[in-house]
Amino acid sequence: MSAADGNGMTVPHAVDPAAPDGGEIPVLDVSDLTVGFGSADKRRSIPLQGIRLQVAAGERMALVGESGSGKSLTAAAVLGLLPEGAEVIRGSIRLDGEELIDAPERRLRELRGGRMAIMFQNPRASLNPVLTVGGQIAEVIRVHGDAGRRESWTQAVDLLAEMGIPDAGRRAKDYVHQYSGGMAQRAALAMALSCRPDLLIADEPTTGLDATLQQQVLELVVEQVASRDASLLLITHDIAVARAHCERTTVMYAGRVMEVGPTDAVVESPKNPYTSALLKAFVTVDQRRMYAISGVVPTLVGELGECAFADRCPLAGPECREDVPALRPVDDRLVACVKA
Amino acid sequence: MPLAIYIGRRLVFLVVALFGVSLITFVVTRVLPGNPAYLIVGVQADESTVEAVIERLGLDEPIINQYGHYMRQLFSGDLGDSWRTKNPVTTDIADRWPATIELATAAAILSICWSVPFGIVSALRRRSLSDRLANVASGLGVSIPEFWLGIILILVFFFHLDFAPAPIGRSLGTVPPEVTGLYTLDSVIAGDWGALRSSLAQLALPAITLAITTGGPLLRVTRGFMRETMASHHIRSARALGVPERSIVLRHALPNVLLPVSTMVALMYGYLLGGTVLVEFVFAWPGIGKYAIDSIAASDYAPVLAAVLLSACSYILVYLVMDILHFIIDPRTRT
Amino acid sequence: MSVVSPRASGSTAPEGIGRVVAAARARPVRVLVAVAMMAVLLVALVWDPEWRELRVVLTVLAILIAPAVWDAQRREVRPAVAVMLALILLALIGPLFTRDPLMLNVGEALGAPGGDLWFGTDQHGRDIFARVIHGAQLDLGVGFSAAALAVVVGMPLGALSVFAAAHIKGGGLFDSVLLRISESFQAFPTLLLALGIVAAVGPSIPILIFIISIVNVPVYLRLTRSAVAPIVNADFVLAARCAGQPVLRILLRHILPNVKQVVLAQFSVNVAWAIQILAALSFVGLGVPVPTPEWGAMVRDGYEQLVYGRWWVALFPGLAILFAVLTLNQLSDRVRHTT
Repeated sequence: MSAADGNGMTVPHAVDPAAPDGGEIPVLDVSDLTVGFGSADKRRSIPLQGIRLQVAAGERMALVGESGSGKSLTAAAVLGLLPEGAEVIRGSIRLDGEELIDAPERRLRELRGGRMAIMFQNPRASLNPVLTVGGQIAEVIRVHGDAGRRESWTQAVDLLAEMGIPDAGRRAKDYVHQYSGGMAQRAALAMALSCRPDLLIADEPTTGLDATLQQQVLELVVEQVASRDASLLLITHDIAVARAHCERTTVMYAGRVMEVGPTDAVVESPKNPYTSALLKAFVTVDQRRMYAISGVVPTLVGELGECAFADRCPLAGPECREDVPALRPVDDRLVACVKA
Repeated sequence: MPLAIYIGRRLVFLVVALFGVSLITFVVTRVLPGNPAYLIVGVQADESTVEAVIERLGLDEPIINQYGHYMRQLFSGDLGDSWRTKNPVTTDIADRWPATIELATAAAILSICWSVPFGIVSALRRRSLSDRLANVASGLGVSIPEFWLGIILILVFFFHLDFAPAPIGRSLGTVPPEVTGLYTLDSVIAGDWGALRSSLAQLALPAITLAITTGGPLLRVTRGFMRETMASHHIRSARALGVPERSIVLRHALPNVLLPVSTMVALMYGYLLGGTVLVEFVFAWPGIGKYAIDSIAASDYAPVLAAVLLSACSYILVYLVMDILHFIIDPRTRT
Repeated sequence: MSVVSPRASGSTAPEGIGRVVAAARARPVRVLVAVAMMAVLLVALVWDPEWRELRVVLTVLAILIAPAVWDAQRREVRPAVAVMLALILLALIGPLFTRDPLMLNVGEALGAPGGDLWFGTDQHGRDIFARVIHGAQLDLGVGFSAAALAVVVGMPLGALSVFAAAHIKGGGLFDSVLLRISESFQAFPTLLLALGIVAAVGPSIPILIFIISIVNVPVYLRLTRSAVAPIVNADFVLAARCAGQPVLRILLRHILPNVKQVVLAQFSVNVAWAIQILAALSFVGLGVPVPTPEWGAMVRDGYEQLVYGRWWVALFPGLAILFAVLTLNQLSDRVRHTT
């Protein structure tokens, strides 16, 4: 499945980064998001440093990076569910134009599951083991609307059926341990989409599933998101997955955004040396990784005053050390590299 | 796994455990130094009685045969006689067992009532006031010697505040007609509210003493399970879909916590059935524990052994019942 | 639980007290040997009417734990260890500065706390303060000895049984029989079982230590078993086996150091239990022989004074038990949380 086929929707391809989306308000607009752990001193660790992330209406955006690059933390920040000890230092997160940072918890709760929803990796652990699958979906429906018990149950069963779970009426009464991994992920998708969110965040949704199931589940996610005119933010470490399912891609490294652009363009002609390195690491011959990026990911203590990739970058020069490279428009995309 | 097979398997375990228990009590009486005949009939017994016991128990036979004798005795329900009370031990125990059950049950209920909700609430926020209080309460609960705590409670509530009745057993007034042997329950059945008040008043201090000491560990465990559950993936997931905090705690987390906590409660109750000894002694509560200690003081050994055996068996039984209940309640065991 | 790994190269050699600390950290086996020596000492107790060995046990223990007070890497544990050390030193040295705990003085019987007699006197006019301090030696000494004996028996047995099940033919049977026996043991309420045995054998200090440790052996057996089970097939154990090292050496050098943390935490809890059991046994009259100062026995004296409202006789020894047990439990918590 390539980027634009299947749904016939108009997707803003060539974005002018200075005035994104041609004046239309993006569904998700994160800018300069900086998140730190611990007390505010020099040794404080800052795992997200000035993240910029925009997802337009109906768009499918991939968030790609190595593990530890801050992808999941970005999602947690968007949902307002940062882990204990973490806090937003600065920046803004807007959902349909509405600022989420410092929004009251009550409002955030309405938005979570209502206008933005998430599905996690390891679906079997993300459903409650002692509540029925249908009951959990029905509860999310009740929380966000005024459906009664019976009505929400019927909707839950319909959703399960829609996600391709056979005999949904009976399976809704089952517990998650009676589901296979693929079925559990379908149920998790049903739960996430139960209130027709504008934005679905899928955090490595297929990790732990076998290859054929991965493909099926991802296709289902894309299809269901499209049929609801929702946007998708697909978090993955696998650039091939991003290429198969998303029009645009944001590449992250060490808590920073390195490159944003149309997925095909990013994959075929990366403009940031980090993206190139990441791509090379993914080119496989006989299932064996042929290329490893030399050096190590920097520890994120304090805010960096230079390019985060400078230590490992084959092209690095003294100018890379002068300041943090800003995301700047280069042709059809945004790149954070002074050499681009 | 079908319930019947599960119960069958647990019963096999039960037999193995009971066998182990009998083996241990046998070793304690027969193999340890000292003449077991004297332990059985008492040191003041004359030569001929001792001879008779040696004959009856086959104490001059090989150890394996002795164990056979011992097991045969157990199966016929013969736990020996108490020469202090001049009754068969089984009769004495049947008289006193309800008192221990009443105390242990009351203590268990009180203990659950304060420690489980406290554990749940204190787990919700780290370093909150309730979390700190829970630290102190569980630390003290685990560390206070219960016999001393009982004494302090008597000093404060009986001597100084004159709040509680004298610590002299189960009832000051009339005893209700026996149905279950539990005075509180029997008073309710007989509709005798005066007797109920009196028996509850007698029960209060010993039960509170035990509730404080057994509640400490229960509080700690509940808090631990609750913390673990609140950090789990499915709770994060429910939060991320906007489920309100109230429902997260009560509907999503609580059932996951109560399953393991109920195991702890069963362990605690099983422990209490043999662990009320000191408190019974302090409050002159006429249960199995006091029976055992009084018998020891009179060098009357058969009742001690019977009490040890009984409490071990009831512990195993309580645990078995809990296990089977779990199997029925926990949806994860259904397929 | 972390697995012991070769120490990072390039670490500078520590000096002074730090060296002692480093030695204690790097040689957990030596600590085990010291604990085993303490257990051996207990055998000598049988022939010593004055139980001087308890003092030796406490001294060895003080020397063992003292380095941890200066161990900068264990900041969490330090305060608890310091309090514990202070308690042990009080038990060792305190008795030199108090009155005679056995001196009868009928004229001063049942005096309320005040003046020279900080904690008052008991029914025989004995100084309760002196008795509480002297009692520390006995309660802590017996507590530590009993827990040490339980570790020395239970831990190798537990490690061996898992190891046997994994690496020796027929070891599985040994393992499961041992496990069933210890499960049966744990069905007995500790105190009642101890009561039953003491009643059969008769009370004396060595027998009390022996009995309290017996009822605790299954705890260590199962604890070590569960801690060792995940690492018994670890690569470094297999490597050692392939290198032809003897079983005992593998157990001592490779497996036991890895369960040290868990066992230390449990040890501390177990000393607390042991003290509670000893006090309880003495409280019901089955503990130490009569005039000996022991906390539980003193609470019993106080219990008899309860009807007359003489609170001090029971209060202070009880507080002593509470304080010792609380300290030990705190220590255990800290050790457990600094893994």
